[in-house]
Amino acid sequence: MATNFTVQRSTTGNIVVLALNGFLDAHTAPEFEKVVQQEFDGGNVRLIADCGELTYISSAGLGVFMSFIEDIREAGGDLKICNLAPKVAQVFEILGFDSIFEMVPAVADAVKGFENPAKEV
Amino acid sequence: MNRRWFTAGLAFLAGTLWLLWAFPRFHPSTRLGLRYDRQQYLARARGFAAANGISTKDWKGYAVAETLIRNQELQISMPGSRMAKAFPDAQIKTNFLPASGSGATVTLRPDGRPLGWKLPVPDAASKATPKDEGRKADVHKLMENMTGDSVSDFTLMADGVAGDDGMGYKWREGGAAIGNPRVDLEIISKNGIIWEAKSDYQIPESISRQFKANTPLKITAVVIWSIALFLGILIPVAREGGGPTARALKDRVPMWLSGCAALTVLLSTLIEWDDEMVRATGASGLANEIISMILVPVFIGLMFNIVIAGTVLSARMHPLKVRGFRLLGTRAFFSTTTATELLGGGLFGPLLAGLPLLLSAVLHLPLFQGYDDGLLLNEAAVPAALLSMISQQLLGVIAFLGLMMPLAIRFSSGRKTQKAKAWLQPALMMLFAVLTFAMLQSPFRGAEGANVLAAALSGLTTIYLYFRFGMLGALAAQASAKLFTSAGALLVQPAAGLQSSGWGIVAAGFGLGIVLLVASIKAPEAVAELYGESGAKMQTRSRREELLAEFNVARSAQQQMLPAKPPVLAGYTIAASCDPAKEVGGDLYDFLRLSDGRWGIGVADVSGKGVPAALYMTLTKGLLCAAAQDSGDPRQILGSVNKHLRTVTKKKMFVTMAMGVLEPEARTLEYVRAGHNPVVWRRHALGETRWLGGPGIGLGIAGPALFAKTLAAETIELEPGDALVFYSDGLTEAMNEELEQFGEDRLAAAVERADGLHAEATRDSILKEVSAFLKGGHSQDDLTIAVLRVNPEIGSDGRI
Repeated sequence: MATNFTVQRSTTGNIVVLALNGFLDAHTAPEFEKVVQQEFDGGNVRLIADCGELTYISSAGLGVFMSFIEDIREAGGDLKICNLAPKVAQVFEILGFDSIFEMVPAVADAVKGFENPAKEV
Repeated sequence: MNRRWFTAGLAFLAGTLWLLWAFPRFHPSTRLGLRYDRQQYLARARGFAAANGISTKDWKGYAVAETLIRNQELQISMPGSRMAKAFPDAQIKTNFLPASGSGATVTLRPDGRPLGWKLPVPDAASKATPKDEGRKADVHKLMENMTGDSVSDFTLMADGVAGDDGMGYKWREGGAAIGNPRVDLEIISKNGIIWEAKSDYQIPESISRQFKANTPLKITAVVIWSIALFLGILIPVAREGGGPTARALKDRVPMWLSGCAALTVLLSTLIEWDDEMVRATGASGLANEIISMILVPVFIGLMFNIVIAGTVLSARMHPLKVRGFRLLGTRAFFSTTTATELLGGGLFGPLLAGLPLLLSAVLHLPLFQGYDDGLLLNEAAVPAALLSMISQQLLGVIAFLGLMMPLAIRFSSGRKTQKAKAWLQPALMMLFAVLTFAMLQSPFRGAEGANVLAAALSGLTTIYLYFRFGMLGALAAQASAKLFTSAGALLVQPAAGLQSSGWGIVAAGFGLGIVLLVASIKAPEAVAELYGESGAKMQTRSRREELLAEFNVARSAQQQMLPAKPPVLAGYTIAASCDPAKEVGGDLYDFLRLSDGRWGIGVADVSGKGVPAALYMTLTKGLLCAAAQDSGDPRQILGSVNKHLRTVTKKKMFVTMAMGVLEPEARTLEYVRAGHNPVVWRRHALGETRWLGGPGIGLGIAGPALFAKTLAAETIELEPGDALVFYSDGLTEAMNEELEQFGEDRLAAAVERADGLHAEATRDSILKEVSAFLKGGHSQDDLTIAVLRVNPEIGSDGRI
């Protein structure tokens, strides 16, 4: 059950959408970390995490988001989170991630956010 | 891998060639010159008895060779002295026992001449007879035969004195000047039979004093060695505690090995039993022999147990080096691992046996006994030689490698600098090695420098082997050296029968080598396979036990970091507990006396679980204590913790924390939440439950500015009967078998049901509901709870 986690990559223009599916916990976080690292190394700093199929996130999973956000922003990009299930959203909120990350309902909203950077949180 | 075999092969070749050349030249056994084998000596002894009218034909005969080191010392200290040369290097004691009645003993020189005898006293009623008086010529002939000197060399002390036992003749040779070695001869004839002949070789005190066996070096070595041995056993026991020690003792390894050791000693005692009889039939009595026969194996078995228990505990310092040794106690004792170590070490046997000879040759110092003289005339020399490979000397080497090497590593690894470690560790190892081998073998007499050098060479070889072929290999080298020495000691004797025994031992040694060689290639090779079910279990269990023991220490250390007791505040009760999901956890609670006199109550949760979380938990605890001394403002306190955590954790970890600051008199609580679960506020009077949320990011995530911007403090006013419940997500996310979480609703209900209970009872009641929900299962996450209850007074029933 611990390995039930996949990431699907797609692009919209120069924006990379990472669709997360399953359990993001201490066992699967390194996998996700590798994916984000690859994007960052490849110069893709406009990232959207589509959490529509993300059923669980542990603190280790949250750690991955946390560890990249500054570097990505310094490189002029952003990592936006969208489509959170209510239970997962609650975890993000309790931790105060809502004041760091831009969390929007849908991928389209996140794309819009990239196209209209004035609307910064 | 190949290099060590190359070295081993080279060592074997060089060692064997060296032994072939040097053994007949320098080994002390060459001085014996045993001209006959066991049967021939017995036959000669029977001949002397028969010549004096005692037929021992149907009597059982025993023979044992004894090296007379004192006599050898005399010869070496008085080179060229004719008198000293007459002192025998060794003697062969024979004993003949009839079915009933008294037996006969005959002592022979290695060249077959008699040294003396004692036959049954002829039971003639009369005293000395004319027959005995007329035997002077026979007696003189015998005297010359016993000493190899002519009668004119002797001083007559009593030439024919009649007594109850017969006619006695006494002479002395070499006794003219005091301080010279001398021989006293006594021959008694009765009824025409010379039934007793004695030769007493006496070495003056002035010479024997030069060759003390118990030298200051040896005594010092024994004392220091014993202390080190004691520490080597005590330190692991003290560090690991009684449990692991008991388990190590229970481990099949020591039991199996000590059983074998006891059995071996018992067997070798039994084999020597015949020879013991020779000595026992004297006067000392059989009882002593039987006692020592039972006590010695018991004592050695006990020693083995203690030493090996310590070794098992210390094995974790060098698990790979002790692997083969430990495998001996398992079903996988016949495996490539054990065979490889035994073969590799065994190849070094000739070299190890040749080291003292090398020193003897280079330093021109004679060697003294370095072989087992019980073997020389043994009826079954080959099996006895194989058995004697497992000697008490091995116990000393096991103690050195198993207990003192770890002691050296442990002691030196405590040093601060790498440089100190680099020299201290080998220095300590060498010190222990020299002490061990100086104690076990001091082959030179009156030359302590040479003995230290010999011990250093043996020690260095043993340490090398320990690192190359493991503990088992180092022990195999000792055993192999012993086997080669046994073979050599027999091969250098002139008697053809003894030489063939020597060849038999060589053949047995090579046979063993070939078995090991084949085993090292053909034996069940995969270690995992070898370990099998039981082996693998044993391995993992002991590894697991080691870790659990470590974790127990960590767990209690961590639990001690939490406040032992909540503060006692008038009008309030406070209770808290923390139960890590694993041995150590990342949760923490704390009660802090702030600089402004208020009381802080905090619960924190480090992201992740286990050891990494535990490390950050202790860090957070420290940061919190430090920050609480500088400020009474919870926002400032958390801000400071956030700042430092962010620097340290490199954004890989974060900590969530809820903190309430209580002003007991005013009954107000200032509350902040840094990414932590909301606190439950139960308002008893209103019958209402509120969740204290409020904005705030977890600690270590955001920079100081953003953190401060988002963190909001709220102050609430408490009423009598109110309760505040701080907790970690391990409580609300505790999951039962149906994958249901305990959740906020059940928590709120549990808190409501605890209305009217003081803090401790409230906490217990909530935890009870959680464990009832889990149905005996255990929470997957650390479970922490802290309860503050405002209570005006407590009734006798515990209710407010």
